[in-house]
Amino acid sequence: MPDLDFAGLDRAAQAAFKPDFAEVRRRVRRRRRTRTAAVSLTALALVAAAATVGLRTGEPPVSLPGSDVTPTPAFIPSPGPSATASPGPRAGRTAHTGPMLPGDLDHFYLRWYDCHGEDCAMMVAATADRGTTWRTFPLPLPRNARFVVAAAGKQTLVAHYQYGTGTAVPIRQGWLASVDGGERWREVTPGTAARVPAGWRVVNHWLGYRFDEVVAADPVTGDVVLVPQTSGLEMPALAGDVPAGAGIWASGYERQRTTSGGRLVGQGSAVAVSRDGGRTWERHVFAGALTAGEDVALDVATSDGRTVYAVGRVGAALVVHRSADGGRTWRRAAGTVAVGERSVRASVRPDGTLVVQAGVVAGDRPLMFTSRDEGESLSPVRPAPGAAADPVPGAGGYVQQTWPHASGLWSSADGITWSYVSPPDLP
Amino acid sequence: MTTQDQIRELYAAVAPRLVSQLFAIIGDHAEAQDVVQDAFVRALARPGRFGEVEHPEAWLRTVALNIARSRYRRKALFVRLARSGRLDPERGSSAGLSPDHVALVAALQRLPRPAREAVVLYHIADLPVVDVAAALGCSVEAVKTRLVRARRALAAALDDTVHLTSVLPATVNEGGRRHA
Repeated sequence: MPDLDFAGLDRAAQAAFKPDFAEVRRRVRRRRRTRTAAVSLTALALVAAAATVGLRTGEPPVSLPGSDVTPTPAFIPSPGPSATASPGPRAGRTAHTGPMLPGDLDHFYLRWYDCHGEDCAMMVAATADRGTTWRTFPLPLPRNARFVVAAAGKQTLVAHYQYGTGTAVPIRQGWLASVDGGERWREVTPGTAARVPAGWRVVNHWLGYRFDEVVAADPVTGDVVLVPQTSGLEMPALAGDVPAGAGIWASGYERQRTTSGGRLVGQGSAVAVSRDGGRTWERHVFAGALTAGEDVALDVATSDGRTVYAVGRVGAALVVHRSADGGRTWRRAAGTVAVGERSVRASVRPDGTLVVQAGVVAGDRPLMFTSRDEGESLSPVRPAPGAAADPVPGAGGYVQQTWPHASGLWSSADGITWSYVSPPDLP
Repeated sequence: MTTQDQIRELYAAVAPRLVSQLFAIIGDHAEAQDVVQDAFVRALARPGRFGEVEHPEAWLRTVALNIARSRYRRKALFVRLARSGRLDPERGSSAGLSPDHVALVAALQRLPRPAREAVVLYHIADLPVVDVAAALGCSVEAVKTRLVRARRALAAALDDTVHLTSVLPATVNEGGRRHA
């Protein structure tokens, strides 16, 4: 019987290691030579690009900052220049950005790290004019802290931070809030609550997968509460593209299992909804191996909380399940199409049109479909924003993230016509 | 002693530990060695800056984890190609370990990456929960959840009759001290 002998494994793995510091030195020398060559090639490429810009016609090139690994979606245009948010000399500085956040359709925020090598300051860039001009503010945190930010209102931001090593510097984590768009911050002590207080906003979608609890913030004060009761689903994901008042929706799996190939996978793709602010949850488990890709069981789409879609694929076939009673009963819609192994996203426009995107990045060769008959048929359309449209609470509009493939944000007043908010020009 | 000399001494002391931890996360001993070597390359490339790092081992671990994650993303693309039949992925190296240790490393690979990293940092790097949370950029509560979920998953992967409570903590407090 195998034993969970972590200490023995540690000893054996250490013993098997053959130190070779000379190889480290060789790699350093190679790295320096490569970088020198790269600088020369980059200079040549810039000269060549400058020479061709004036001759190019038609579509602009597909090129976005922040995409170091994955190609960008084919339908995202090259962003135009925007105002500089970061005054001061650029030499030796690099910027690492997070996702752009909407306060409303005029106010946007960008979390970023202003780094000199590995030494980074925590910053938030803010625009009040849809990205035309930006200001940037430091957060009152020690250098090299880690933080995430969510917008709870037009000028209300909450940030969760963590810093310290636990030895020389004690670990500390906590919350900050700003009610003036990131210029001034105060420490916030989060409370716990049995349900999300009325008028508060669930912000998990913008904080990433850091919290099992539902995290909500007061749009006026920036106060934070955690609601410990969860959906109970395995590998859960809270839906972001659900309007306020339509319930809190999560997708996930009924259980987990290990495949013969050795991978932990979810079984029983399910949707769960809480209609009382996270106090209680109801779930529905779908038949078949439904997946939205990337360990996500399915994507939930609704514009009113009553007509709800659960969209994914079974094998290579796109599958749409529809509920007409807020998730209590479900029926599979007739519409289907072959999408291969692409990841699936779906949203519902204000006019009730279901928008489905299969494939996220250009390398996936994204496909897009719309359905005006509640999923009974799917019509191919040209890929465009709209299948991951997050309602902006209180603003009556929508945004669609591009992060982590880019740092900008799609913005729309009506969910149909979209404009791109470019990130600020950072070091 | 120059900073480069200090890095060489640090390498002798720390590299085996980091390789062990990265091996448990990656499941490939050769790849783990390569990742740790690369972390030291980055330290040695800028010895002045590295000399100012307050906790060098934690810094190196973080860099190695980031390198491993970056390689994992590229590997995911590779595996996708392999599944299509266009490539034949090589078998991972297991450093000539005992069958039980190979089984344990294999079971670790079945965990989702965040859970695997939490288990390795907690049980092999022997970090307290608060340090695991700091290293992974998540909350202490999330680390505890990942450890509990990993306990269930490892039980399923290895042997349902293994009494994991003798190995994994029943509870973990805020300071990361383990209770029987």
